[in-house]
Amino acid sequence: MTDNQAASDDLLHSVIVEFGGGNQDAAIEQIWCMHRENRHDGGIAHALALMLAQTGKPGDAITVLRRAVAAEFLNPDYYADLANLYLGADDQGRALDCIQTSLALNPVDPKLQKMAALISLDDRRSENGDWPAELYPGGQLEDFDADGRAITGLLGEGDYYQVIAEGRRILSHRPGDVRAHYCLSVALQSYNHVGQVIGHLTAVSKWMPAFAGASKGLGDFLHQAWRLKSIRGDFANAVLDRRSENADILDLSEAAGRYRSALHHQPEDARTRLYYGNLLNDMGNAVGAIEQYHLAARLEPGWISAQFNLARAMMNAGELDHALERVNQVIGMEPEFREAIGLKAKLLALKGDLVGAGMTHQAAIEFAPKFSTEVYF
Amino acid sequence: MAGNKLPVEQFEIVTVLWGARFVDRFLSMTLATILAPGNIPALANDRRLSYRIFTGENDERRLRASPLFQRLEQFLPVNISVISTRPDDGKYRSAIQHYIQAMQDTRLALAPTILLQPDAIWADGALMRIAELADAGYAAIMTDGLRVIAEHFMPAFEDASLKGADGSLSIRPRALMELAMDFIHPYEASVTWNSKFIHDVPFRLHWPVPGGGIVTQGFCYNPIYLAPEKYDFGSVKAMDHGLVDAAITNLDRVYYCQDSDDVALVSIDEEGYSGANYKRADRRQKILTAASWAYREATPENLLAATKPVRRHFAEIDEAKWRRVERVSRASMGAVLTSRKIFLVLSLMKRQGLTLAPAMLAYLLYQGPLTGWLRIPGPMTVFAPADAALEALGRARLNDLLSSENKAEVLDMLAMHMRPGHLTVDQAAGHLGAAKIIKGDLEAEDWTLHIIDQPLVASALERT
Repeated sequence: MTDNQAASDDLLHSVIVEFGGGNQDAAIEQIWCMHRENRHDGGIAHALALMLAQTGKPGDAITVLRRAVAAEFLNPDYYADLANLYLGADDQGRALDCIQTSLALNPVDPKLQKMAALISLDDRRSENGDWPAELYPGGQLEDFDADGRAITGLLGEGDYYQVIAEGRRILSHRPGDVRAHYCLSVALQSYNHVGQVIGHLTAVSKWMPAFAGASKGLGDFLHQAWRLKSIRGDFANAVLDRRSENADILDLSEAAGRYRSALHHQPEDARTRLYYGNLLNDMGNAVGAIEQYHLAARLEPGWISAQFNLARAMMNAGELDHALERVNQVIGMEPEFREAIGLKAKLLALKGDLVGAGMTHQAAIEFAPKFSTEVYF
Repeated sequence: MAGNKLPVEQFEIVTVLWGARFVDRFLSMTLATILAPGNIPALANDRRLSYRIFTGENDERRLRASPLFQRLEQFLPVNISVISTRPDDGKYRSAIQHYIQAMQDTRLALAPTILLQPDAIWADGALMRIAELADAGYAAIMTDGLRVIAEHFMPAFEDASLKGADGSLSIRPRALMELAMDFIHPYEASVTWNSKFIHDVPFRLHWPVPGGGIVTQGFCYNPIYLAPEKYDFGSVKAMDHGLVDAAITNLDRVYYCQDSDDVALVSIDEEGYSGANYKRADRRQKILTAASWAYREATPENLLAATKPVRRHFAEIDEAKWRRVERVSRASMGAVLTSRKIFLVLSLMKRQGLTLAPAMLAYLLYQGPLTGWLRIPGPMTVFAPADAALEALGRARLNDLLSSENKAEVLDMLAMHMRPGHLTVDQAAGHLGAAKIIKGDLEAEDWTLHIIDQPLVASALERT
């Protein structure tokens, strides 16, 4: 633990004590400040959410607790608390997803078992067929906690080779272990094994439906697999005379469903919005894409990729002035963004200023491309 | 070709690798294939060989424990140099330094180097072919593995290759190419001429030859053999990007493997989440993306490499068919190289303070008809009107000239301002009618730039 983290934990503790002592408004004000400064600190967000819930602000509490869950997505307690809040808001669907997710991470927690029983998780079980008893059938929970600590520890150290070995060991005796599937998906991602990553993320998404990051990751990989396969399919068609496995292009609707599932649980995640927009573009839904880019840009106004994608989508929709205004903002934020400069040149040409377009193109010739997985081309 | 044509009696093979992933690949693929009968066993019969491996401490233990490694030691002495590494940390930069160190260490022994990368799969007979080419006096031998998707390719390769009793794997060049094209990496597929996408670093392009082949023209090939003429390695960026320029003075002594029947290898890679590094691109964008990379990065050796078509195939393909595709590949790569020269000239114009002439040229290149039109192999003379001269025409007229309705007019005008060959100020003066050269003899490689005081019009040319 760093000195900063220790100081933050001490401060958080003192605020919680202050809240418990009855000085609720001051405590909440202080913890809001802490949360604004450290939006990715799950502990602060969790504490703030509980305080908001206790002071009659369940809507804000849910929003903040979603952030805690996004920051510490393997913490079963956060999902359990979020389930409680959803129940209070009469949102049984999300509540059930949270309980199911929490149970996958902590299958012996009596509190969760009780909640599951209370809100008719049994109905969900019958819909899904085999949840949850079949996830960890008899005897598989031995060393459950130790295995979880071991593999997440290795992942934290970045030792992906060992993560893969340990993950496969865990899955050999507990095939449904969601933490092992998750850690393997991350480690194999570093090896870029697209097919295997999709397999592990599919398992995680199935058993942890409230884990938006897994659904989003699965959407990303399914989309990328589609792109890679279509690229290879063109090659096979041109060079090989025989039918290629690449001829079977994947269906993008599954990826779309994964993104929608992620957004159902994390509607304020700008990244999911942007990637979903990229997918919609490849599905030919330009209107849907522009809507997602708008939302992403609104959620994170300083995010260049969102602004760029939005500008490009606006150009395609014929909104040239708005697109130009937006792309000028992007270039203002990142003057060497070659693709943005190219986009501006196209916009100028479309507006009839061909000389200006040429000047703009010329300004970019010294810059290297700035491709990223975020920017849609 | 110049050079010593005495047989090369001694080679040092060098590999740099670290990390479990590369050790696994090296042992199961690279080492297994170089132990095929036509590779190290044949080469060790009549040459003196040594093998130097740079690797991490843990990796050394894994290498030495492998039966294939022990088999390797039966043919040649293996010297392992333990290096300090972190898995996959700056692997390319670090690896190149160790390859260079190996060459510097063998400088006095006059032993040329076979550079054997740890993720390559060699066809049987490739190493003997390297020795033949070395005997013929070549100082560098260049090729590059066609990239394949590791997780799909490896099981199929193990099935398709001939297994030796010692664990070696032997595969013929065409069988290797067939597998490579079946399990082609998206990178290679994206830089293929008919693809709707392109990668952000298109250092080569492929043209499909239906029925089982591709023609490749590209900037970057790896040296698989180097007998350095000099040791000026200070500015080397990568194996395929500066190493040969640093080691070889006379590029006539560089051999490019131009047929996969000659030397065949593939390079195994992950399929890659970097899929989004592929963008949708039409052919103009492919040309400009490749030209832009070459403008910023290409070395003289890279530019030479780009003129050499490479045939890779698993089927017997009719010569006429090859030539048809090569005509297209040469023309397209010609457009890439010409576009690169235009970038050089644009940069030169900018440094001279011009804005309007380069803007018009840039527009024509990016959005007008220029990319498909210009394929100029040799020197060129460019006449760029000064800003004042173009301003006098008015912005509206300039925009009008550039518009697609005036394609013929603008191309005619461009032809007047870009003349094949090198014209000095004195030689050019007679071609300019009333126009005068304000500043001349500016050079961008073999292109010459003259700044003139007024645009050239057809009547001026007619007068000359």
